[in-house]
Amino acid sequence: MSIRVEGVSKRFGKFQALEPLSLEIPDGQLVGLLGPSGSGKTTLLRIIAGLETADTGRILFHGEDVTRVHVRDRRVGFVFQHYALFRHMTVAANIAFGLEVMPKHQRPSAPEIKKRVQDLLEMVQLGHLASRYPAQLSGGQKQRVALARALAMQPQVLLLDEPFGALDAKVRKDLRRWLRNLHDELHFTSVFVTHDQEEALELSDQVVVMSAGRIEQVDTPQTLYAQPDSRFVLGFLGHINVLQGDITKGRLSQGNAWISVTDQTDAKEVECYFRPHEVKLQTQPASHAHLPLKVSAVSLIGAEVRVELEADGWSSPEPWEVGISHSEYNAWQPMRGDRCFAVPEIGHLFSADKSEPELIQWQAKPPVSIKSSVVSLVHTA
Amino acid sequence: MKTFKRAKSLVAAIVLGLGVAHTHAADQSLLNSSYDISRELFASYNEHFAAVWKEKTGNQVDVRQSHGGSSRQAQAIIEGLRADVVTFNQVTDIDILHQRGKLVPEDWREQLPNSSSPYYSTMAYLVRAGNPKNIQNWDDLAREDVSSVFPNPKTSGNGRYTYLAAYGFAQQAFPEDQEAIDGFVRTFLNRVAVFDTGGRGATTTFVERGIGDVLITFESEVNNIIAEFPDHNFEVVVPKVSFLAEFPVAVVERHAQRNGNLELARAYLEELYSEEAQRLLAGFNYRVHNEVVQQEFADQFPAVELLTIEQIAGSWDNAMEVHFANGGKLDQLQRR
Amino acid sequence: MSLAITSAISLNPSKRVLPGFALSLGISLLFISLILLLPITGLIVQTAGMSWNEYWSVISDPRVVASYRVTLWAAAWASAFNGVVGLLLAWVLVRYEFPGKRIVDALMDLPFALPTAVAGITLSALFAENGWYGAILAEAGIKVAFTPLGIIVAMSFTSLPFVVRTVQPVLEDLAVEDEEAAISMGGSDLTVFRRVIFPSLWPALLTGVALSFTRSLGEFGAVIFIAGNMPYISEITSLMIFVRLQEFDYAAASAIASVVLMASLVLLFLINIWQAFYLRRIHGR
Repeated sequence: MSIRVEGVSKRFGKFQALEPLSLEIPDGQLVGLLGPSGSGKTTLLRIIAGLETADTGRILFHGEDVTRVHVRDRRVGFVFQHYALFRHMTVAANIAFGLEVMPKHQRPSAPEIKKRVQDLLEMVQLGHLASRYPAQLSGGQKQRVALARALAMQPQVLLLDEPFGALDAKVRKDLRRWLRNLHDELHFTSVFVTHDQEEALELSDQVVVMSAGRIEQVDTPQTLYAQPDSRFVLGFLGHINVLQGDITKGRLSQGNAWISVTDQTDAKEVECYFRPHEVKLQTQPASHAHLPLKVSAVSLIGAEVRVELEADGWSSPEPWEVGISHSEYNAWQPMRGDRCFAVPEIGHLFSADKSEPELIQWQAKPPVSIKSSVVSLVHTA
Repeated sequence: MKTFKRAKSLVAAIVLGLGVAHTHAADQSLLNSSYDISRELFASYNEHFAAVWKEKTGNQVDVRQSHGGSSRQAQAIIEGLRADVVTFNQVTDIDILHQRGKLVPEDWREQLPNSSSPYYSTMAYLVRAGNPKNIQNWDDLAREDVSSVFPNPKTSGNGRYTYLAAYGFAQQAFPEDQEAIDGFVRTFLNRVAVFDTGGRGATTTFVERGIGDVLITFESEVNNIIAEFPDHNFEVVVPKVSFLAEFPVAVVERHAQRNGNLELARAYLEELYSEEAQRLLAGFNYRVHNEVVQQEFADQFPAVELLTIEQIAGSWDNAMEVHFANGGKLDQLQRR
Repeated sequence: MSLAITSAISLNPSKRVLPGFALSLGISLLFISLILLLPITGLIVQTAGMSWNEYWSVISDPRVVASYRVTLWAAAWASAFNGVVGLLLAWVLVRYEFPGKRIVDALMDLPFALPTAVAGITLSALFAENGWYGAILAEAGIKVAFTPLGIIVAMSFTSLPFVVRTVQPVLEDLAVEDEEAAISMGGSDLTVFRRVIFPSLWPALLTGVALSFTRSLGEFGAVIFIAGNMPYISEITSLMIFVRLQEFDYAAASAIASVVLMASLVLLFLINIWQAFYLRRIHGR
């Protein structure tokens, strides 16, 4: 079932939680609402569910206006961050709840309910825990029970509010994969809220990035990542390195740092954003960029080695971060205070009067291999 | 060490200071344990007595009062309250002081004139303005159209007197006919609208809540109510026959002796019989024995035939056993 | 310095805010003995002088038995009424924002703060036929003051805070999400209350009602002024105890009191057992 949000806004007292916004969620998609806390993502989700009423606008399910339809009649499955399981009921009773409260003429027979509950329990792989109470389950198990419960009435829309927020990292990853599979299998329309960009990008067909009650960008994870169309999105999707300066004669420069932006007219207060993996570190500046840096910290945890650097002879609002592979690290072995140059491959240029960036791609120059440069660094050391 | 010494002398100073302050205020002090509604009466009498005592001995006396239900007061004294004198509204409450702990002599009734009862009262009626139900005597209170209010004989001396007055009336009305007597008192008890636990409670019920056609309580209390609620235009009816309600007093000799107050305590009670004190008591609507004062207050106290406890039940002990003990006559007459 | 403190704490996990276990338990036991057990022992000692037959005849006296009936019956109605009204009040105080809410909240404790005799006199003034409420009720043919109904009014007034104050914190802790989950699954308001909210409140509500009931059993001051105290009709057990005390019959008073005490203890004990069982399930302990 497709979901359509039309001009919905919401205000809590003096706080504008949602600016009027519209959104189209196609049938069968798994959509992530991503944003920092206070961005309005949960409010939007609750308005879609009917747990909150919008001040303006309409909500349409499959083209049908449900704005005035009570939450209990919208037939949405809703999963809460803290599970909201009924403590005094067994796991099976929790799952059966939605079926048992149906009006008499719709309600399945008792044996059928029992069977349905059993099937759902099997589906969430908790068949053996049917007669336990919620207090006896782990967090991951609880959330799976909550999911089974929400799915019991076969809703066509499944809404999840930070479904993995209260779980630890390992369980969260498993559950995330499991939800993706479940979605692919059952094909309902799902919307989930998260503040974790990794989760949003991994799980979603479409990601809706929100900030301060507005929608910043709606795209597939690939497009979103490749072409973030605002400073906010770019910044929210991971660390960014910034060069602020003025453009004169095809160069964006500040202090002793510059990059070439050949086809630009002169401009003031321009920013260029570089993502950590779109930058390489070399001992020598490249012909299109002169960005001297000094190593300030090295973090070895993870798939990559993260090198933190500070501007050397110019200024940056935040330290730079660049990822290098472990083999590169082993060859180079950077230490605090070592000097090097950043060589960007892609830059996202924001002029003062535009919110959308312009993508700059520099031709890969005759590769000054990191390895060779590293060797030379070692030499100088 | 030094601080300890200083603390010790400080304590001493405080103790001494208190002692000095105490003796400075009064040379002698006396504790009078009394019934609930005698506050104003004794406040006034104590002033009178202090003056008399000062003149006689030159000593300043400070009479302290303790008020409460007189049974509860007796209980407190048995449990250790060191009162020098008791001024109660029930003979039995002083008897118990002898029975439990020999705090008063057995013959305390013979220690002072009029069976140690310096003043007395009787049970009278307070009726609504104009006496619409025309209530004159005890037989009117058994009428079907009359509802009465008086405190529970089980919890209040006041209520017990009312019961005995009605019972005494029935004894006169149906001589030698126990069945008729019981029948009358049973009906009389059935006409009661509310049984409060004490006299003041009954007064509130009748006056403030507007319950009942007649309130039965001490004549003194009835007159106080008239004075206190002039707007209600209540009327006093004194029945032709009623009960002699004594207000007995006694020195709690054990305690007075220990307190070194025996002489003072005796003088305190004896002074109640003086003409001036009797006048003061009459001013509080109590009947007194002093003939001069009786003459002066003749208008206030209509003639009434007063039945004594001896006439009605032989003695207080007997009355308690036969009538008020658990399962006694009162219980039987109230049984349904 | 701070390091030293931290390590000291982590080295000695038994360090707590309160002084040692032995000391605090000792003080608790001493307190329980002096304030709770000793008076009860006194009660038993008072009755110990009676033979079993005397004891039985005192507590089975028809008038006393009638008073048990009146007291139990009135306390049951009063606590049931408080169960409903107290729950409603707690609900309103927890779930709604309205001007003067804090004042209403503070007023909840008034029955505890007010001397019960004052409460009794005030209630009887209000509910007497010439009182504000009594006049209106009289027109409907309902008499409250000086009838058994008055006993219920006085009992429920003095014990209402028990219900409100036991239910309130539980309601505050109750996650709104549970209700939302139930509603999103199609539960009607009534179903949600009956099957989701009530089962969570139920232990606290029962405790509140039971406390209200036991307090009502022992209430004297407030009831006595509004009951009318007619033998066999509106005499409460506390009055029977009071009568025996007036007669200096401590043993009989204690005997009757022991019946009330026993009834209260049994009730509280049963509720505690049931509750432990129920809560163990919910908390998974």
